[in-house]
Amino acid sequence: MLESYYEDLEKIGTSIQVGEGDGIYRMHIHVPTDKRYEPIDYTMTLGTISKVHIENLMIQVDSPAGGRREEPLKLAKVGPDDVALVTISPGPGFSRIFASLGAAAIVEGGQTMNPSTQEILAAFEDLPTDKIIILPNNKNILLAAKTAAEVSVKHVEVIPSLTVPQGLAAMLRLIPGQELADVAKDMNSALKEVESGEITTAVRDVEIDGISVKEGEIISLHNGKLVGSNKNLKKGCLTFLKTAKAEDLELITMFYGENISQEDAEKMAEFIQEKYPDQEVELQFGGQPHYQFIFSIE
Amino acid sequence: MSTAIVTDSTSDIPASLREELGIFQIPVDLTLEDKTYLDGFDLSRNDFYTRLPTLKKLPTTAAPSSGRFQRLYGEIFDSGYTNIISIHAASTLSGIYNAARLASQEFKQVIKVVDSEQLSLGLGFQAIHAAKMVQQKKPPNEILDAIQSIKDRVYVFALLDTFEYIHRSGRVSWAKARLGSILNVKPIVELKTGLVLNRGLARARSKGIQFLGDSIRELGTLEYLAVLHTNALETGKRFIKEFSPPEIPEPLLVNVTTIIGTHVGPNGIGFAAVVK
Repeated sequence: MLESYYEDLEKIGTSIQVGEGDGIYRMHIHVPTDKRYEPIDYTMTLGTISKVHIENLMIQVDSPAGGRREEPLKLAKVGPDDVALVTISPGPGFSRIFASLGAAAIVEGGQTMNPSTQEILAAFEDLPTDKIIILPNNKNILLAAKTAAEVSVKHVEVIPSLTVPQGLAAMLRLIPGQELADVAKDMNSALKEVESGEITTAVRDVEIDGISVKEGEIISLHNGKLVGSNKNLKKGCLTFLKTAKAEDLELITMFYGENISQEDAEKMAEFIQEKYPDQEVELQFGGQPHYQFIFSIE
Repeated sequence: MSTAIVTDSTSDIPASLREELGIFQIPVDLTLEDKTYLDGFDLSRNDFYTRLPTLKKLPTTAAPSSGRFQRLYGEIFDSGYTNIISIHAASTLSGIYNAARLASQEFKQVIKVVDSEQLSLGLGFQAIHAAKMVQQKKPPNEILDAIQSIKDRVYVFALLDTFEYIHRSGRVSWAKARLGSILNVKPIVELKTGLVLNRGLARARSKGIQFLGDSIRELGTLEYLAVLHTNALETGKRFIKEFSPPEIPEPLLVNVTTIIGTHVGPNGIGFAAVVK
């Protein structure tokens, strides 16, 4: 029954998804404007409809703010002799950045949404090259990446990037035409060239490394280690920057997440620039969940 | 029998050194907002690089005509030289070499036109070395062998401050394709056998400069070294202080020709080195 439902829907539209519940189905479909009621009329011949939601995707595409991020990613095309870079990205902004730097495949995933070994494998198994580099960009994904490398018949190097900034620093060493081993060596040495920071809201009371954290406080991590818990976001950012000795470095890049508006992120970047007048501050959309900001300083 | 050494203004040989070694130089044309300048004349490099970021249209560069080469070669023979070695910018990047070759065919005397496969002092050191050998009264065939040897041992690296100019210039395929770069990145380039190669990207300028310094150290003992910059004199001075090898404590420090600057933009830093 479900199969014929799919088949009939395919005659009406695209991007079809059907979710199965306990006697309830949830269906998603993209259709041209003139066919917008057809899926409803058709489904009503099969059962009862409890809820309908219609969204105009053309508006989404046309609007300059939202539309820009909806553009499909332009991934690097690789040939049989090329090194293909596979990277795990925790948000749409990071995905665009990774793509612009030459990633051949991007797997979505991050802190609370670790991709499986299968998902990582699937991202590079069909690429027309045997030379693969994986950047896991998270310590919880490192193991899955290593397993994918072991299972695959291709030559796979896993660069142990534990944060997204480390992954970006490694990506900058991707030089077309170089041998896999050389690229991997360069990328490994690039990992320690950046300081990574993560700023997020604590979801429970906890005490780690002598720092006591209350639920709802802003916690700051420096290279994955908890370095402070504060009442507000400003203090959270400053605690990280102080621990990482940003005043001795040159460039502070802030990637803002999906849980903070562009306007608030811009205000925070201005505030940081005032506090660090000798450093260059760059703000980018990362789109990651949970973390208001991911910092990269070098 | 005496040999004249000719090069073009993309060689970046400082005027005083050029005069000391008796090197002839033909200027390249630069067109800036509909006005054409001869490289090295009537437009200072400082003025050029200050104006460059404000220009709506990228300046254009043009090889000197073969007629101009013919006039120069004619004058050289008239003044008593018996043969010419004419060394020029990489033929893959400029039409200068071809214009020189065309002109050379109009003379019955021997004119050897050499494709340096380089730019700036990567080319300049070939001409400098050749001119030194002329002073030592070496025969032309030995000089040509020595030029080839320098060509095999020369390394040119640079850190550009932005992708913008090399992308807009359209002469380098990988840079042309890199429009989508969202992060502010600074390309590290190497010029080798006439090709502009990508050697990585830097985000912080200091990291890119460190890469250049490390590259110099990895080359080993040097015979020649020049620090090149596009209107970044202070950076150039600091670079010399930090990275000059003991055998060359005072390398040449050169504000690179506008002809190259047009394609790489201001605030770039790099070096040309010949390994011993």
